[in-house]
Amino acid sequence: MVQRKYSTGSDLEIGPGEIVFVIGKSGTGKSVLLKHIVGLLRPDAGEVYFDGEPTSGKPESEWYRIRKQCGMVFQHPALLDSLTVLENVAFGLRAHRMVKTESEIREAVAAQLETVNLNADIMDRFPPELSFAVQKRVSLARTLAISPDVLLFDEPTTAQDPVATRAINELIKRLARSLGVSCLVVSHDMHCALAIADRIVMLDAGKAVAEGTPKQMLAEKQPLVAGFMKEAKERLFEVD
Amino acid sequence: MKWIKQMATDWIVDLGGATLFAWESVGTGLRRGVRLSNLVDQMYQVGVKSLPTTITAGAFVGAILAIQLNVQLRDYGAQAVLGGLATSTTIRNIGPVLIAFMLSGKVGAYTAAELGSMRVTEQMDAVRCLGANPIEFIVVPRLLAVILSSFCLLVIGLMVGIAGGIVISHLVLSINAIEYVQKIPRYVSLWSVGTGMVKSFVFGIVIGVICCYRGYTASGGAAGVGRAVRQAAVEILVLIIVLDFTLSSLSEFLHAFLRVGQL
Repeated sequence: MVQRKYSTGSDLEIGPGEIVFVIGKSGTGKSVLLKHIVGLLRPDAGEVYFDGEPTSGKPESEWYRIRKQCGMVFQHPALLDSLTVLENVAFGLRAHRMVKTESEIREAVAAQLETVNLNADIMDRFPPELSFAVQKRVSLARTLAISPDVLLFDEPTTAQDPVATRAINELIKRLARSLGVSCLVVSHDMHCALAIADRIVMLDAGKAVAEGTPKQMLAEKQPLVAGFMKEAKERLFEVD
Repeated sequence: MKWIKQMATDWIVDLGGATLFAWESVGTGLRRGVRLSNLVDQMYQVGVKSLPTTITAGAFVGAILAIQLNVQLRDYGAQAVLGGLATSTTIRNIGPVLIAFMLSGKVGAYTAAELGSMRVTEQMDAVRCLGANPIEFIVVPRLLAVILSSFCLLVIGLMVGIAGGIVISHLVLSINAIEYVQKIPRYVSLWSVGTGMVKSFVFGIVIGVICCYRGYTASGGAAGVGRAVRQAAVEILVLIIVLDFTLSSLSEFLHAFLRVGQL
């Protein structure tokens, strides 16, 4: 059996209303880190604390409470193909018994779709009838619907057009600044990271090799970080 | 030697995994129940949609047995017993096995691929993150639907198989259909029908558990889904053969032990 080891190598904390970007090359364990936080994977060593409480050894029933507070937006849209957009977005609302009547559900779903710049008229369509980018936004609406205190994003802007990317960035910023939602974003998109992150953490081979504000990261001399920042700066220059 | 050891270890791990998976699914189903709309939808997907294939396969199984047995019986001038022998063989042995083989490809592969795709595209994880149990919401309705549908399809397939034998004997072998049917009760006892039903139910469980287990534990993208479907198909086929032998032997042993008359 092949075992892969992942470790942040240092404590990674995220406070209320903070936006933290985790960046790094593919296969360095960024998505694995998120899955450990919501208990989809269990760490062999180390500890994940949520609200100051260690999460290891908690039964699955306890994890449902944690996952209600800590929503995750997956890399794939991960929508259930046999359910309509309405049923997908309402899934968490129903599971957590957050709404009672069908009209309340329709209202709540329409509001969430509007939050992610989607029209409510797609409500009765099935995921395979929608483009990948729209599916990803529906998936985001589905997670937002359960009103989590912490949001984990796995590549939220992948396959999105520039308008949708900007809208998602604005949404992350709004959630953090207005509602105090903590956002941990795994991304390759350095533009987004530099634009909205409070803090950026660079992962390499499963370890956190650098951490700082966007300004500090731009000045970082560490070769891997410098490489990522150089690419971002070049693209910024090209755009200018 | 090393690969034999590895193969044996893998086999034990898989057997244990599938057993625990089935145990958890049954426990969850009993504790939490099954949403009827979900079950009906799945039964339509795997059961109703497989009906034409099952009927076609069943009819040909019966026809093939009638033609094959006729070749042997003709040499002994015993064509009169064709109806009884063909029906008995269809119900007790060849029918359940061949129709279960066909269902493993149609129902088993479909379910393993569907669950595998849901696993590798993180749909199972998403369901967990949204506060539901994927075993309860996704697996249990499919498992139950596959078991019930497979059993019903097998029974329908066997009935069509008998009809296929009658039709082909009448049209091709020039054996009177009434004579053919009159010989059936002489060779087909309630014990034979019971054996066929038990086999059909057990094969339904095998198809359901293996395809759901392989799909649920798939990993590694599209290739992983392909691997899960292949493993499910191979394991179901091998298990059906082994269980057919075991159940046939058990049936004969119990029949002799209980002395319940004609086999």
